Amino acid sequence: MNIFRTSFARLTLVYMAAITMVGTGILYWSYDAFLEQSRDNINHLVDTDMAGLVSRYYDSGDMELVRHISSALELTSLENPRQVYLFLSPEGKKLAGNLQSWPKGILPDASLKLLTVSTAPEPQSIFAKATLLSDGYRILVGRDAGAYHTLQHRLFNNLLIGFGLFLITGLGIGLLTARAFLRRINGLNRLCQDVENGDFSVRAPLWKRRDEIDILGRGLNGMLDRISALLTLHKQTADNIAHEIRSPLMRLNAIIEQGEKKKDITADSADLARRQIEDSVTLLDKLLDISRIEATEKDRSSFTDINFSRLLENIAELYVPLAEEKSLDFSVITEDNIHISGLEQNLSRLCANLIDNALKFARTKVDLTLKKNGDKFILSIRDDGPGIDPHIQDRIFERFTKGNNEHQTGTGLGLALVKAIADQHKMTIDIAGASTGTTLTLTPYSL
Amino acid sequence: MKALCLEDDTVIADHIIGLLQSSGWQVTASRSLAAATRAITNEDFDLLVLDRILPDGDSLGFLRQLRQNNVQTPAIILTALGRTEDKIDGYDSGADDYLPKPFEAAEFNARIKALLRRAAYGEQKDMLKIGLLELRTKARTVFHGENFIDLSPKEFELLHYFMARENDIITRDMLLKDVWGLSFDPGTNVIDVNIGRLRKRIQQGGDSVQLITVRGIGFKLEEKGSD
Repeated sequence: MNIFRTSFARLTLVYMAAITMVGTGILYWSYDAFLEQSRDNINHLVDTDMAGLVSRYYDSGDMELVRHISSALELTSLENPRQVYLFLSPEGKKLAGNLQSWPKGILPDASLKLLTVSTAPEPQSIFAKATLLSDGYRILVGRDAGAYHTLQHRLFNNLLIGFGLFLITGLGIGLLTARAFLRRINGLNRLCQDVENGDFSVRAPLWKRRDEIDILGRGLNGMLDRISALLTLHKQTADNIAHEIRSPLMRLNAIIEQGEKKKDITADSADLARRQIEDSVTLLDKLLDISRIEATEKDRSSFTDINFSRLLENIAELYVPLAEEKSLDFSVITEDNIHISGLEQNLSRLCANLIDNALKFARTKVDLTLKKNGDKFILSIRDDGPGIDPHIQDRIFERFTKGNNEHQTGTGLGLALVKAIADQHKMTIDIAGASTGTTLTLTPYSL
Repeated sequence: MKALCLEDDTVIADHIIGLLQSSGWQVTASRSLAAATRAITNEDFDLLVLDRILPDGDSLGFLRQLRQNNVQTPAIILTALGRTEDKIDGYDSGADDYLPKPFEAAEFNARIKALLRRAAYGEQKDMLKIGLLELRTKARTVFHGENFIDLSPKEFELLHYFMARENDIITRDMLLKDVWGLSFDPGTNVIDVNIGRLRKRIQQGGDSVQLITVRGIGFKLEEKGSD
């Protein structure tokens, strides 16, 4: 990307132009103040000189003034800035002074003027003022402006140098930072391009500066981590679905083939066929439910206040006949009025899955307890079944994880669903599996 | 009796129309929301059978609009979106029933029948009687002839549900939704076991009624020897 097309470079240029203008303005202001001070000094010298000459004229007459000017000029030839005098008679004849004639552009009005006068060997620039004396005599007093011009030159040069420095450092620093900035932005752009091309393993380069670009980079990396994890999960899930859906389809195919051979489908085999279809649909529905719950894990907008004690009892009641049928001792102990903010159907489903699972594996009994724990609660369910196969202990909440023991039937999605709902409701699940049974404990970490 | 069938897939539409016609319905078929809207403004229907996803939108919005305009025609949604949360969305939009595809013809008929019954119920009777089985809603007692049948509150509710729908086929989904308030399938055969227990309780009182299992669909409470 062209550096001058970056917004940062443009901003820098605008900023630099503003700084240069303001800086140069300040320099010009001090330049002007210096020159004015210098002019004031000369004005003061000329005024004092003029006052002396005028009082001498009125005290002692024109001849005395002529004499005084002549001697002053002889005495001060080395003085700097050099004095300039011209004393004229009423007829305009030069009586004394070091100018040949009355210069153009000056009137006897006692105001200071900067003039150029023709002197030998070269024209000279002076500050001067003139005044009219009685009887038509005129006097001009001035000072050489050479030193003033030198000062003016030096100050002006400084002004130019200052302007240049502002311009160059501003431009330099601006472009350098813009380039550094651009390099980092380009890093992020390359990342986007790589992701666009399908590479999800790339990550944004970070500079450990904790500035806005690093925050952006970290945000992008977080997003990519999540997307990669989801992609992996989706791929695994897709593979698993393909695998899982094959079995009922195969069975269905077998039933149809048998029916074809016998030229008849019995009610039993039609039922069996129907169950294969139902199983496939249930599998897909469960998977979709898990994905949907996971996808909306952070959306708690439709949560309502739920009496969890009552909800759990209602679900447990549904399973009591099942426990009786299996001759299992199913004890349900719940403390009253334990509330939680959540989704009723999902929480019911979580409880149903937990109980269903425990009843499936238990040998003689299942204990379900819900009790208060500070302002939260602990839900625990214990069975005395064969426990969890150590091989799958750490994958137990992943989709399609099934144990190898003979009790293991079903889709292998139950606990994945439980985990998704628990996460949605900010509950942690602890699982303790031993050969004497399994205990699952759920505790919300924030209510 | 007129039914509106809104379904864009011709094979499925023909299947549904066939099912409805064999139950004596006069069916108007629409393939889009626009066509259904036209049909419903021109005619009054007694039943709406709606596919969920149509070429010009989701029929839940269409149904919500009808309910807002105070059209209370019983509506059943047939859809490939069969997840728990989709069902909740469906009921929230004013659907009276929600049947995920694929579905059995018998289940479809049972649902339609139950739907129309439900719409017609309105007031509740205090005493329900089938054969010798008598259930009193206010007193919450059940007798078979002289014999008192002791039921848990849930069992009472379950029996009441069946007795109010004598001879109707009740599906597992209907029981889950209406008796337990659950819109998901808890798996295993938990409903069957609960029904089995209720059956035993009824039999303890006498045998003038029977709670039979209808293969692949659900259950039915009927007077013994009624068919």
